[in-house]
Amino acid sequence: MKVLLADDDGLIRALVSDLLAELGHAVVVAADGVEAVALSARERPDVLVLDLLMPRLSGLDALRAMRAAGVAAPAVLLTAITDGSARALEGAEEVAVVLEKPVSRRTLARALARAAATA
Amino acid sequence: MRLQRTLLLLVACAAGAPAALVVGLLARGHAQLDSASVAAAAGALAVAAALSALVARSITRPIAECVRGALEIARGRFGREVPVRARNELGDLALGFNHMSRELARYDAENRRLIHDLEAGYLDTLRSLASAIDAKDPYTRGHSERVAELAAEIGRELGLPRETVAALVYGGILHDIGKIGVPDAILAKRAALTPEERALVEVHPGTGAEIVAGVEFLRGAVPAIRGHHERWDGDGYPDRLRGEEIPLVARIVNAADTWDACTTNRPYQAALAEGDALPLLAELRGTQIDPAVHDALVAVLRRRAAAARAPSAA
Repeated sequence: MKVLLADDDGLIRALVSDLLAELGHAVVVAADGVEAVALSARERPDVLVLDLLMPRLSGLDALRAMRAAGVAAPAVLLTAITDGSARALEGAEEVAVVLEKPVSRRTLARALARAAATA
Repeated sequence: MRLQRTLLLLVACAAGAPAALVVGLLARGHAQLDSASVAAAAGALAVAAALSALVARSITRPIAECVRGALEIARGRFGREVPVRARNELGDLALGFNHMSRELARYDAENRRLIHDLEAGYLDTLRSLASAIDAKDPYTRGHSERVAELAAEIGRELGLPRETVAALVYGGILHDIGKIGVPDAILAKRAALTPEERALVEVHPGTGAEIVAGVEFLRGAVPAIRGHHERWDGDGYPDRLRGEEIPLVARIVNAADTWDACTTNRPYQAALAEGDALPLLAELRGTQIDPAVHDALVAVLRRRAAAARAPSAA
């Protein structure tokens, strides 16, 4: 699968994209929400992995913009806050899976499988 | 300390009620396992459980609301407020939170206003600069302003982002700034230009781009200025670019410039009526003008014509 990964933390980007590559996925990375929206239109990813809190545009707002632009790929919301708090936010209903940080290879693989199953 | 007092009271009730009941029963000599005392103990436990749940809820609910509010602010939605439910520290947190949120919204609005004012100030400066060029040539009075307006409308018609539309405004206003280096006599000349004169005119896009190149906020306009005499078929100047090699902003300013030149008086021709200029424009589609830009320009002109008719019809 081709995965679009957006996170403003360079370390997380490096870590998660390594894990994604190990899991056999192609990865395109964005450093904030605006970049992610532009990239999603160009790259047509199969799954979106979006950090919640990013400068300029949050993961949920980026997801809303992508949906408006016709990007239907299932979304994994990557976040340091708990699943319950993230689910209570406006726009969270578009998210297939909330993936809490820190991310391990196992939790990432499971989240991607669940997200792909909703597609 | 209010919250601490409330908590202490509620937890004491929750824990103490069953104990007090058992002590009471013992004191009255009822401490056998008959059905009445079992029911009373069960009842007391139920009250304790309910009170504990109330305590947990009264603390977690306002905190969860503040968390949600904080996350909304973190994603840039300033001004979001959370309900104030109690006159205790949690209520104070919500009050403080709401005030902070309103202040952030105010700062944000103030910032946007300042940026807007700054841009408007820049634009005024540019307009006066451009009118200095327009003044060199009586035929082009107001030309830069009209080209900027039309170019921006074409950009919006094509769905270009806000920054690109701003570059079109700046590029439109300043597209002929390089004419500052062209002698007035050549600009106003009615007869055909000699090859030397033509060469002098043809350096103006490059000169203009150089003049503007050092200004950071005009960076987006530089390609529009340098490329506004390039042609879609590659026969333009100064770089003889062709098709998509020409920056989109330059293709748009070129189309707007051409339209304005056709529909206003020039030393070498009288203004054409819109009805006569449209077929001419169609001829240039795909030779001089990018077909997509031509179509957007025609759509803009149609909309303008409809808007001009609308008030008289209403």
